[in-house]
Amino acid sequence: MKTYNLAALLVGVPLIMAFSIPLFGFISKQLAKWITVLTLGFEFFFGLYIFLWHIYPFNVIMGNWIPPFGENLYIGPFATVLIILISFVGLMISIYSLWSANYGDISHFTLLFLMFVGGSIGLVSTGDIFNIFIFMEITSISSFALAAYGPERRALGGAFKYLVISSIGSTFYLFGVILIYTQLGTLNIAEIAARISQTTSGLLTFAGILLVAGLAVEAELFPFNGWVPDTYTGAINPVSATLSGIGSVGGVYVLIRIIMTVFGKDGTFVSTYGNLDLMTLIAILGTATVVIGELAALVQKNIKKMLAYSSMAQMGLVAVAFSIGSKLGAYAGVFQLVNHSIAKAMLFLIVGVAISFGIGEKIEDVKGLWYKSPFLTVTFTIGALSLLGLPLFGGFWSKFALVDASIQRGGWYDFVIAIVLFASVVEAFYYLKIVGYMFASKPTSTAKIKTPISPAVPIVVLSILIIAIGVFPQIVGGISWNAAYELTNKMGGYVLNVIPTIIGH
Amino acid sequence: MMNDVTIVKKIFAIFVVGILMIGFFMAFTQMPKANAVNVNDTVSRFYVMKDVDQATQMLDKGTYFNKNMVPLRNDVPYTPITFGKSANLEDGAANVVTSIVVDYRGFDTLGEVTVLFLAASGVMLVLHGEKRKVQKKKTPPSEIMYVGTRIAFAVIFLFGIYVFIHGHLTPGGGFPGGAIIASGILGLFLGKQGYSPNKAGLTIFESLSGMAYVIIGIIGLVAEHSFLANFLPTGTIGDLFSAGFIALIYIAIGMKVGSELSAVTNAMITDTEED
Amino acid sequence: MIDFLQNWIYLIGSMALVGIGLYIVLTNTHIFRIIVGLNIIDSGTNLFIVTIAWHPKSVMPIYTATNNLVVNGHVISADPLPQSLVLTAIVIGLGTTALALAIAVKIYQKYGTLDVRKIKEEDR
Repeated sequence: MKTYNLAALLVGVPLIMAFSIPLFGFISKQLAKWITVLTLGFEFFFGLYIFLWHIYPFNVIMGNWIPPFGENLYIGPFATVLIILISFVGLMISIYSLWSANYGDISHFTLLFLMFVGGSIGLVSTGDIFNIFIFMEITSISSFALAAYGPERRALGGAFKYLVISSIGSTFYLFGVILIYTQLGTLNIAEIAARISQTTSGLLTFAGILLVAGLAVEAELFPFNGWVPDTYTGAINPVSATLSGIGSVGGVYVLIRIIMTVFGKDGTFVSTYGNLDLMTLIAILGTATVVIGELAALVQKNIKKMLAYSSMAQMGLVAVAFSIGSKLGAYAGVFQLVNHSIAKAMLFLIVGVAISFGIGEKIEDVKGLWYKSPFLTVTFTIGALSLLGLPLFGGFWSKFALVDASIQRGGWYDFVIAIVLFASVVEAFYYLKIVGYMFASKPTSTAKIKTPISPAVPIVVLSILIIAIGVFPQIVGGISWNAAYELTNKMGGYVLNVIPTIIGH
Repeated sequence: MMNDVTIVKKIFAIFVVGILMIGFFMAFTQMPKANAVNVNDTVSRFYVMKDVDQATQMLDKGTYFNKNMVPLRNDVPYTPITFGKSANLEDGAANVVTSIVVDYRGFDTLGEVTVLFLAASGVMLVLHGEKRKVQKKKTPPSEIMYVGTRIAFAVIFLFGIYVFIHGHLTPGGGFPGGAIIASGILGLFLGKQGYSPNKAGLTIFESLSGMAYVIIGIIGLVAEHSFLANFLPTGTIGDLFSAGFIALIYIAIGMKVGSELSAVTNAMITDTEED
Repeated sequence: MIDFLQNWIYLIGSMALVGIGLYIVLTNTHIFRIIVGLNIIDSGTNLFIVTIAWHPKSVMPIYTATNNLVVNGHVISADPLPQSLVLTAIVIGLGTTALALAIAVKIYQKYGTLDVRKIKEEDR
C-alpha cells in the first residue's frame, strides 16, 4: 500500500477556496471568478502531476485511521483519469464563465460551481461507500441551485424536477448502503468488495437493485432520467455543460464502481454476486437509454433539448460498454466517457455563445451560421463529428473498441453492435442536419459574430484536444487500459491496493 | 379525462410502492438479529494504530489482517474504560458517537458542513435580487414580546454555546448547538417588525468558521502527516479538556451552522413578505 | 407479541413512512405537498438507520459516571456508527428541504401558482 497523504489537498483546497469566496465577493465579483479558475487550475496540474510522474495508485489516509477503520481516498488509474478530465473540463467552463454568467449573485454562483467540480473530484477519489453519498449530495445540491440560476423562469421547473428525482434516488442509495452495512458492519469499499460473498444473497440482490436505481438518476439511465431534458434546457449554458460534462461522469463513476468493484465477481467477463446479475440489468437499462435517447433527440426542434437527449444516449452507450464486463469493454467505456464529456461540454459552450449573440435555440435559427461565424461552425462540426464517431476524431476509437468488445463477448451482445451502429446512424442524421443548416442558405443579414477571447479559449482548446485524441489515441488509451484493469480485476486492481493483506473469499 | 390520468397515476404509485414494500420486507427477514457483542470479537481494538507510520510498517510486513479476520495481536488484553479515570485513550471522547462523527469519520463531517454551506448559498443564489417588499400592516409585536425575545435570546445563545462546547461529553454537538442559536435569532425576528441581522457579519462569520475547519484539517496534515488528524493530546475521558481537537472542530461547526441557518432564515423571511 | 413488536415495529414504521412519502410524491401535483412527501421519505430513512443500530437491551453509547458500555465482556451499547450516519442524513435532508422551499418560493413569484400542471401549461 502506497500512501500519499498530501493528495488530501485535492479535496481540501477547493473547500477552503469555496469557503473564502464570499469574503472575496466583498472586494470584487470578478475576483471570485478568477479564484475559481486558479483553484481548478491547481486541481488540473495536481492531477497531471499524479499522472505524469506515475504516483498512482495510492491511498490517502484521513485522520490517521488506516482503512477500513477510518476513511480513505483511493486514487487508482480510473480515479486519476477522471480527476484530470473533471478538473480540465471544469477549468475550461470556468474560463468561459469569466465572460458569461453575469446575472444575479455571481459570488454564490461561482462558489457553487467550484464546489460542484470539487465535489465531483472527491466523488471519484473516495474509498468509502457512505462518503460517496455525501459527495453525491454535495454535487447534486450545488447542481440544483445552479440549474435554478438564470434569467429564465423555466429553469426553476427543471431544477425542481431534478431536485425531487435526485433526492429520492439518493434515499434509495442510502438504503442500499445501510442494508449492506447490516450484513458486513463496514463501509469501506475495499473491505466490502473482499467480503461481499459473505452476505445473504436475497438481501444483497435487493440492496443492489436499490443502489442501481439510486445511481441511475445521476448516470442518466432510463427510466430515471426524466429530469435531463427539462433541466438541461432550462439552465444557462455553462451549467448545462457542467451537468453534462462533469455531473454525469461522477454518476457513471459511482455506478460502475459499485457494480464492478463492490458487487463484482471476477472472471473472463465480470458478473455480480446476488440472485440477479446487475451487469445484465445495466446492459438492459443502457440499451433502452440509447434507443430512447437517440429517437427522442431525432425529433427535437430545440438544439439544447436535442443535446440533452443526445447526452442521455451517450451515457447509455457508456453503460453498455462497461456492462460487457471484459477488459476491452471497460476500456471502451472509459474512453467513451472521456470523449463524451469533452465533446458535449464543448457543444453546449458553442451553443451558449451563439445564443448570447441573438441566434435562437431552434434548429432553423442556426441556418447560415457559417456566414456569420466560421469559428463557431467549424468547432461545432468537430464536436458533432467526434460524437458520431468519425475516424480522426476522438469518438471513433471508443466506438470502435465498443464494437470490438461486443464481438468478443458474443451471445446477445451481437445485438449491441446493431445498437451502436443504429445510434451512430441516428446521431449522424441529426447532427449532420444541424451542420448542413449551418453551411447552407446564406442569411439576409451577414453581421459577423466576433467571439470574445474568454469563451474562444476553452472552445479552441477542447476542439484541439478532440482532434489530438483522434490522431493520437494513446494520450487517453494507456491510462484507460490501466483503469480497465482496475475495474475488471477487483482484488488485484483495487482491494489489495487499499488493504494489502485482506483475504476475503 | 383528467380523472383517468389521476387514477392511472395512483395505480402506478401503488404498484411502485408495493414492490418496494415487498422488497423491504424480504430484506428485513434476512437481516441479522441485533445483540450484544463480545468485546473480544471487535476487531478494531487490535488493528487501529494511532501512529500512521507504525501502521504503514505493519501493512508492509503483512501483519495487518490474516485469514478469517482473526486478530494477530490478541496478546493485548482488553483494558476496561472508567469514566473520569482512563487517560490517553485512542480518541478520548466520552460520547462515542461524537468521536465517530468528528474523529474517525471526520472527513464525512467536513462534507456534511459543506452540504449545509452549499444549501445556504443555493438559497441565497435562488432568492437573490428580490427587493424587500413593503411590509403588510399586521398586528405589531407587543412590548412584552420585544423584551421577552431579547432576554430569551441571551439564554438560548448561551445554551447553544454550552451544547457545542460539551459535544464530546454529552448528547449534542455542533449541529444541534448551531440550530439552537439560529432558533434564538428566529425569536428576534418574531420580536420586532422588520428586524434584520447584519448580513455581512453573518457572511464573514460563516466563511471564517468554515475556513477554520479546513485549516484545522491542514494543521493535522502538517503535524501528523494526515488530513484531519487529531493533533492534540486526548486527556482524561470525561474532562472538558479532553478528546483533542473535537471541541475545536465543534466550536467551528457550531458557529458556522448558527450563522448559516440564521442567514437562510433571513433570506426566506425577508423575501417572502407579500404586499 | 411484545418480542415481535420490539423487533419489527420500527422497521415496519420506517418502511411505512417511506411508502407513504413516495406515494405522496408520485401522486400529488402541488409543489409544497411534494416537498412534504420528500420530508416524510427522509424521516423514514433516518428511522431505519437508527433502528438497525438499536436492540431492545442496548444502552446509549455515551460514557458517563453510571453508564458503562462494556459489561461482563460484552458491548451492550447501541451501535454508534449508524447514529453518526443519521446525523449526516438529517443535515443533508435539511439542506435539500431548504433549497426546495427556496425554489418553490421563486416558482410562486414567477408563475403565481404552485400546481405543476398549471406551470407546465404556462411554459408551453
